[in-house]
Amino acid sequence: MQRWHLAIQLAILSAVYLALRIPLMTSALWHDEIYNTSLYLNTLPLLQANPDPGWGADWAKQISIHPPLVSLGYFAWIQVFGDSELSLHTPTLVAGLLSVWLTHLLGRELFDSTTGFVASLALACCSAHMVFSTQAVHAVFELTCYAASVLLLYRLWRTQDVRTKRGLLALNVLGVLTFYHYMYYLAAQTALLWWRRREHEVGAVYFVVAISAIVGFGLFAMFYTYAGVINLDEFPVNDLSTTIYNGVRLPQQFTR
Amino acid sequence: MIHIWRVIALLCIAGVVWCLFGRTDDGRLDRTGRLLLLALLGGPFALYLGLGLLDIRFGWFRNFFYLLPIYLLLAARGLRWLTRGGVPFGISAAVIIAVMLLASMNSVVSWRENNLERELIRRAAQEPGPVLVVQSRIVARRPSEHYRKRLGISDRTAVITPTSDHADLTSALERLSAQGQVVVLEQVSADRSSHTSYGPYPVAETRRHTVEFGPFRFVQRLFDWPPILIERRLLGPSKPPATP
Repeated sequence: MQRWHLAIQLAILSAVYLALRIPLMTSALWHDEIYNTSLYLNTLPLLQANPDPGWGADWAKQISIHPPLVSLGYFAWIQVFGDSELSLHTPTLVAGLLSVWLTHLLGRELFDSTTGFVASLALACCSAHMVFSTQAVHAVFELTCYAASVLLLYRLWRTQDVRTKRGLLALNVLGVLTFYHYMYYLAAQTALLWWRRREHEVGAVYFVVAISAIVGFGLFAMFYTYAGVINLDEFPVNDLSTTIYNGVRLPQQFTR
Repeated sequence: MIHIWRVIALLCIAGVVWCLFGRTDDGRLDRTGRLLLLALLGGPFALYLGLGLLDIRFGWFRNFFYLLPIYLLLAARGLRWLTRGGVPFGISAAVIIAVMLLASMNSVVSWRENNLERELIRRAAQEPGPVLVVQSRIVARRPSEHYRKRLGISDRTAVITPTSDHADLTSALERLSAQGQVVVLEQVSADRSSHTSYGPYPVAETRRHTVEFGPFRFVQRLFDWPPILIERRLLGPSKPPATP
């Protein structure tokens, strides 16, 4: 009975989610998508016979904002399915649906079924979520990764299941490669796991790796922010911009 | 719209308060679960609320978009806690969903912008002669050659922003007018300045086009947005440009 109840709730959520997003699947590419997809296509410039000039700087800029996993994933996706609007929006549509389901499951386990259902229905109806789940950008992948990780951590906390623990550790690798904000969460998660390391049987190696990643990220962010080692303003703009607009000089604020 | 995000933030606070002090039997979250949830939210959530209550805007929200499921779970829990024994939960659930839809209405504004942008490019591609498009988003996106072709931006089209300086406008018009009579396409928007003078190129004809798009037409009407494009056909320069 409880399974049927869950299945019906997930079916309602999926229907609402898809009804609000499918009309947007073939809409024209947006502001960020055009730029990001151009970068995805140039993710592996060394493997291309004639790499576009100037994309190295844009790629360096991109890597300072987002880790490479989503770009690499999209690079492979485009090689197989092309870069039509429908193709570019499909991975985010799937990730967004997963995020709605995960929110419901998390709500069920943290609070109760009704709270989980209302929160996930609100997520499905949230127009910001609608926009990001039909755009070839990073946001929905981040949200889905985070929701899955919190769900697994909570389950591990309650059940101390070995498979859940392995899944959580694998998801941590995925999260670190998906978005930099995951590091803040990873720091909190590592502290919690350290506190309960005997119950969950988490080895010292894991803590060494996790703390190294967090410290490494901290140094990267510190140099990036304060020491000026990576200064986005110094990156030259892609030369294509000048040819696109037939020699019309771009205002300064649009060249960064 | 800003105030509606504050409502969500306040409901989240109610959810956090419940996690800290609510009765354990009022829901399924036990003590360790509460501790876990609050520890994970920690910094980002405090930062979000701090920034949010001061000045919630989509830009801030976007940076913490990945936390949205947690915010909504807490808001739903907070709402349920606050309305217990009062407003029926079904009604309060409908309210929170309606609030969510309204809260990010600025995304719908982006839909409108995107459709206007597409309409500008479509009309520019239909013109047989040179076209000057005045729109900032197209300039900002810097599409590559590949996507320029996909979007249909032809070689006889130049794009400038509404705030481009006079030198940019003049150089674009000089270059385009060598290819024929220039058509200027621009969007009308209350919050954007626009070029009203084209120097030595007098305006021969001005037309206004109302652009409505599909499922969001009711939203346009609801908020009375002016989805208007202006098309101006310019004559050649009233006097030849000075030669060096």
